[in-house]
Amino acid sequence: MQLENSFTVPVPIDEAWRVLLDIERIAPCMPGAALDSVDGDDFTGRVKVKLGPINLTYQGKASFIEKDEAAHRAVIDARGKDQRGNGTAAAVVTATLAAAGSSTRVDVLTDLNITGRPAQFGRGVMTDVGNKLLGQFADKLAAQLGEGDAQGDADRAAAAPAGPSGPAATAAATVTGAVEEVATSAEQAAGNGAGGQAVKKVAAGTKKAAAAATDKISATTEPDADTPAKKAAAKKTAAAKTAPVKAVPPLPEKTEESAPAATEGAPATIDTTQSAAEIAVAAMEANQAAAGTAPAASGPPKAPSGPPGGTTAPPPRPATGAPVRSVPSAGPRVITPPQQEPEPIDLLEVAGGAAMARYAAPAAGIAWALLILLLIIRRSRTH
Amino acid sequence: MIPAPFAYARPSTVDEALQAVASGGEDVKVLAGGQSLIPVMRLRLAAPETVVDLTRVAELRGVREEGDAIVIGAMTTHSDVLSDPLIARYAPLLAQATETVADRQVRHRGTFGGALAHADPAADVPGVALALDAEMVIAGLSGRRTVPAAEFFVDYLTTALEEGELLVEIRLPKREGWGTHYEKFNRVAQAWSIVAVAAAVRLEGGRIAEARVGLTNMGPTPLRATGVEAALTGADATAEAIAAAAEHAAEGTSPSSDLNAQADYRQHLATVLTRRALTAAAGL
Repeated sequence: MQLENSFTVPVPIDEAWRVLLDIERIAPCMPGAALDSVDGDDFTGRVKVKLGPINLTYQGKASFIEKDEAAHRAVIDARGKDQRGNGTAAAVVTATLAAAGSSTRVDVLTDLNITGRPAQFGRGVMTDVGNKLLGQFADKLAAQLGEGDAQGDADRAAAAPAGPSGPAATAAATVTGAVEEVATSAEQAAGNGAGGQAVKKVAAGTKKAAAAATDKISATTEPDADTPAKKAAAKKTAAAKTAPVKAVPPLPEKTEESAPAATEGAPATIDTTQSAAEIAVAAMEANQAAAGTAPAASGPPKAPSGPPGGTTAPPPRPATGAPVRSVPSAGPRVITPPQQEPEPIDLLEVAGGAAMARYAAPAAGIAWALLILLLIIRRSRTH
Repeated sequence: MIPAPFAYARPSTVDEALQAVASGGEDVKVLAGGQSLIPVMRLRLAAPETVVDLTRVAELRGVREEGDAIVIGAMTTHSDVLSDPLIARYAPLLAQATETVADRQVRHRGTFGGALAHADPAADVPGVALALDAEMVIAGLSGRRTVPAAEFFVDYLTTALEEGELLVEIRLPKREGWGTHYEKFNRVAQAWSIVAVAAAVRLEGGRIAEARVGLTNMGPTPLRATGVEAALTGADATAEAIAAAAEHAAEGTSPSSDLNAQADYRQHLATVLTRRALTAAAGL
């Protein structure tokens, strides 16, 4: 099965190309995906698929099989196996970049092949599901690229100097980075619903505050590179505390609540993680409220997709109560679409087949009894 | 064909059920009638850690009157829906659609709430719930909330039910004097709808005062044919007016293509079935 997706990102082609090849940055864009290891052009990971009652986890590896810098074309080959033995999934993803003025058009062609029971399930919906997934992936990737490298670089800048001054700084940077990202996704998801503009404003405010906090943290950390972590953390708090006041002009309620929450939490890793999660929830709630019936487009925020190197990176599911789940929309539900012409499994037929199996044993018993009876009758006749 | 091992809880009240779901671990599944969950478990496409069986929760069964609505317990079986006098009087469309659900055995086990919570786009009752403006009462550990049908169905097999929540009741506004019909198209008697249309019209002196049309299996969720409804409001109750309005049935739909039907065929079916359903509902 072939799936085609295209999107445009507002960055020059060379920047877009650089991000596209950074697997650690693009992997979190795939709904339900997690990276296990990266080794040059090869990487391993898992993709969790959830569709109603169906739960599959594909585990496997992927690699860049082509990186054509001149043509700006990258090909990724991925294959995985369901953990419970429900078949395999394989995909060849070809991404081609084309310059369009100061922005870049990305064409993603996915050749997907699913074997085993999932391919048969569900009367052709797997195509829909596959397209939806890729759509989400493209949206998130577009968001990543569009945010520009500015944010990625800021994250990296924050993470790099923070290294020597202890985990607290890194964590703080990670968290604010994550908050920023969440805010961005909320901003993008806000759409054009009735309250969309308001939410956009709030999200933008939160993002600004978070970015400011990230910057402050890295700024504070740099000069203190060799002082103990504690001192750095303390300074950071001060810096972070002032950040929102300056960065956030009077904004609607939610921002005022959420932005300081993030920055105040900066020194204590766990607290920060939680407040980040809270903000994620708040942002998504605001977003949902605005979006009304329209499901949030960008899917649940992945709070912890901050920069690499965070020694105390927030847990995949923040402790505050599963904000990831709290979005009724496009969760990391499904990942894997199907084969060309799947033979649909009719669940009713399956149930019927089971009934036949149930009667097979008694039927065989009756047949045996009849046979023996016949033999006895024949014998009694011959005698 | 044998499901993976799982823990089993059989609570007898909603509160116990919520507790059981909350303490069941990572992957908890709620068992209502089991007509979809059990086959999926037997195929090992689902291997929940805990199954919480609601069959003994008596408060979730039955239909009652409450003001200008009827309240249907989520665990009311399809066959109970079929024989209920309140539904026959105030929401006959639901009974007409339920009659087409699978076969007698499935209707005896399968439940109204289970079918809604499973949210299969090819299932018959979600489209009716949408057309009739049903409200879903959802219970969680922190209390109850009500979600209108239009917001309940989120995506393919996905509803507004959050982790740890249960669908407990469905409220349907009382509607008397409406003409209703459920027109289903499938090839095997007990199969899912390839496309189906739920229609309800209120006539006033030879004119259609109000019309409601729900579409089954025309997208990842059940849909309202709003174009048809708008075209019918105030129109004469004639075959021509209905045929003209039914042409709008496929507007804005994106049905899937599969072995049963291609998307364009489904869209064609939607217009034809809408015309038939409305004609029957208007008594022409």
